Amino acid sequence: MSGPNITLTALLQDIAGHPLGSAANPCKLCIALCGYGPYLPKIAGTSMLARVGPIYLESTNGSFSTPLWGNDVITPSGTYYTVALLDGQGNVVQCAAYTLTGSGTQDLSGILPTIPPYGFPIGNLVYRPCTGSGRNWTAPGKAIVVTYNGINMPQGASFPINSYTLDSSGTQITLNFVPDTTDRIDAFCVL
Amino acid sequence: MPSVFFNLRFAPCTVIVPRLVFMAPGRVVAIAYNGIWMEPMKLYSQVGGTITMKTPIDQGDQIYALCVV
Repeated sequence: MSGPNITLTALLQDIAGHPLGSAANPCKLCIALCGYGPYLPKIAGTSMLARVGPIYLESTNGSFSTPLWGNDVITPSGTYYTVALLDGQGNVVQCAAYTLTGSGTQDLSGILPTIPPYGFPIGNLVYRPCTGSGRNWTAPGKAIVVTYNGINMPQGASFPINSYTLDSSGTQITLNFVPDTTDRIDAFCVL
Repeated sequence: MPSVFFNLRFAPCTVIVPRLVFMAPGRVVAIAYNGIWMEPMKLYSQVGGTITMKTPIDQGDQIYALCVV
């Protein structure tokens, strides 16, 4: 991939339709890439995104145009951009998150903001078998919920309720019972 | 306080081939068969949002998916 596939444009005006910004007091657009969590954002096979913002663009007539990589070509999945609009006095008048996909020119006034997820990229949530035997099992990632033959178990309950505890890493599971050898221990976990 | 997972849904799957092939409304995290989480990838195969059972389910049984939309 030779370069960013999207051109983001915007026009900032006041409520009377006058363009914002002047030579003395340019208005600004502040853009930052977010949501890549503990991973280094990259364009697979092309580049590492070593400068992810905030990038300040200035305009003396309210018009902006900048190339950006689409979030759908950025690894890991689930990234998004935050875009803040600053008036000529440097006041942040609006800020929202946007997920840019596809290609070509996209104007900020025609894109719906997105509500970013908290905590971790949602694409990293999986349901996977755990390995182990007896009371001691290992989840392939940080476990959120552990299931016994497909049934969610409460955490930290006392026998005879089937339950489990997790170590500080969230991957080591200790059951409060010994399952049969054919029983399944699976987990919803974050990779 | 809104849900932490704004785009995580537990939703019924659409029947493509009765009792055998279903379509989830997003990227599948896990499949529930009558409310029980199915053993990952052993009782079904999955390509994108399309879920194919290894054996046909009974008429009237429910397939739900925990998925990202």
